[in-house]
Amino acid sequence: MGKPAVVVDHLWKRYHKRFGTSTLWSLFGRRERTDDEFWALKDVSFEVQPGECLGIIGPNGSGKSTLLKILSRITKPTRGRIEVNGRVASMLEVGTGFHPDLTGRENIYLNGAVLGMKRAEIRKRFDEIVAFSGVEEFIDVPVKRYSSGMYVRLAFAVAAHIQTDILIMDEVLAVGDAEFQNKCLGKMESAASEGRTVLFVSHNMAAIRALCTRAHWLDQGKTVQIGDTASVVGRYIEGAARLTDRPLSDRTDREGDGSVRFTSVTVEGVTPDGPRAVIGANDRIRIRMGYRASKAPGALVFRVSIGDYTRGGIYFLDSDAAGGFAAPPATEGVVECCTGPARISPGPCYVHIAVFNNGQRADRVAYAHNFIVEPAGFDGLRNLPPRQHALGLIEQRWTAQAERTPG
Amino acid sequence: MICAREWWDYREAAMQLAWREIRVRFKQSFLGVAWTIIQPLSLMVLFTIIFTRFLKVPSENYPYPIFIYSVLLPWGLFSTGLIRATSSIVNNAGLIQKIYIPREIFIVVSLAPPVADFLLSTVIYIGLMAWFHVAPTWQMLWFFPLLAAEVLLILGIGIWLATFNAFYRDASSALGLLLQLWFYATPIFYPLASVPARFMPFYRLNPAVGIMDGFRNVLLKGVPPDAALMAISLGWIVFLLLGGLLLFRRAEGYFADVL
Repeated sequence: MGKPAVVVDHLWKRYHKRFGTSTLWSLFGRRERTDDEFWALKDVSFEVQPGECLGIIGPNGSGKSTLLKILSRITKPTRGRIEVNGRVASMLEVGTGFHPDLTGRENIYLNGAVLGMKRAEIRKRFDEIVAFSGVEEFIDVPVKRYSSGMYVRLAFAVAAHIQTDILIMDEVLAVGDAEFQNKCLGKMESAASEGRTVLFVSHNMAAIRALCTRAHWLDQGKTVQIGDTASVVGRYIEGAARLTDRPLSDRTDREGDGSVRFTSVTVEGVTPDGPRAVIGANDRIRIRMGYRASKAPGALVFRVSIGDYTRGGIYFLDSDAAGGFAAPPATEGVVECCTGPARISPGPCYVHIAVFNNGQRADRVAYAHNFIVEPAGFDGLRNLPPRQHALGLIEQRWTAQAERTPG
Repeated sequence: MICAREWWDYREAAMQLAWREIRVRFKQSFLGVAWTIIQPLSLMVLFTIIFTRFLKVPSENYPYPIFIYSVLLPWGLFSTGLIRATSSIVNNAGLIQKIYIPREIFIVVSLAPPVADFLLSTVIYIGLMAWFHVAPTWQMLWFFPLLAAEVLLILGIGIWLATFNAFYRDASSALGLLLQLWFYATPIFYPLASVPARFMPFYRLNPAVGIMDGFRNVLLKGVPPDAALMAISLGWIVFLLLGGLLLFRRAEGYFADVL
């Protein structure tokens, strides 16, 4: 076996929560204060062989992005060592270096060069890039006149056409419409099949499963498990499901400033005959969230995301988007959200909850609750499709017409 | 020397970024390129009025407009160059946090527009030479080594200031004051000869003196730059660049964290 493409050797990374001035002094050998430090990565080690596609998974704040930043040489590890053998292109953001005043054409050359492409290389693939992005007509217009979709498509198109040995990507697939996302996934699949090494961070377990040969699960800066994708993703999902079983009061893995905290959450199905604990495929879903604010809160916005453990979000409920509350929520209380018919295929679902106080995230609990959709209650369909076939259910009417043969 | 090879690898990115800096300034601008000429020209007029009508400043028997313009040009490059270099790291925070390019490149690239301006406004100087009947001499070829020395001096100072500015924005504010003092401590609107002899031991430590006076010598007087003053400037350049690179190399790994 030749040299590995990427070696990560006992990597540690420390950040300072407050303003980073102590770092300047540490350059001159002065001792740093230790009371405000936190470790984003704690002793992470792994190797990636050439041609391998490694998926990096884990909850928010687990150190995934820090790891990618170190591998892209954007920041230095505090301790430990990395070794990267081959040309690297890293995409931690779509459209890095794009300038709003420059035209699409100018930005392709600029962005390509910044990502490490040679001018001749860009010229050779220019038409391909433009065709992939689908913005031909606007190629000589400043990108500030682009719609956000066009902007993202152009940016990804450039990145997708870089020919490097190693590709590092951070959740860039989370942008763009479904059709474009599929195009991007296809591009990454072909990169992997061409024998390029890919490191890929995503929350989309389906994409990780489809693309990656191995997966690395990080949590709070530490490696939880590294191994073949199916088993790591499987255990990650199990772990997420187990998290849901813990009572809300035990959950310290919260995000937000803490000015409002969730105290309880319940989910039930609502049928014409009244509420029930199990949720039928066509039930309305009622989510009740208890909360307490440390002092009189400002405008509160509650958000709930309901999703499938493997495929991610199904529904996003937003008190603000839905028109807000008739009476503003008090310092302490219960808010309730009642949805329309669920139309979710049978299987397990998770619930993330979040509350924003005057636009600032006050609290967020991932996997705060779960529920299982029962394969019943959807009138008009005799069998409901299993979860792996579809997330959504829909009423349908079929007709057939005989084709008349001419003559 | 590892860094030299790395810079070479990233030359295309550097060229594109430099081109971006130059292009962007003329987008959505009506007068566009004309601004690079309007600015030094109006300063020249202003200084000429003040220092020949209000105050009588000696200009060594040269017409004052060309006397001041021959140094106003390199001084303009010096001051805008330093301002841009100092904020170059902070201004490119978005790129620095998302992509790896040797960070020194941002400092170098930030000088592209002022250098382009400088070269463009030398055209005006040629016009002034014709107008005031100043004959060209071979000494004018010193223009290019002097320009190189000036750019290196800006880089040498800029690399220190850009590094500090990444941690403390005070560097930008301090620079504004520094440049004002510097303007008076450099022979720009007065001749070097009018500096009293007892001040000279300190005065000549200013690294900009050799270069600015050098420009006046070669562009106007037709004599080479003062060797002793240039030696001081070159000493500063070597010290500032080497020390600055050492500091920068230690600090750059933290830029993404503190910006």
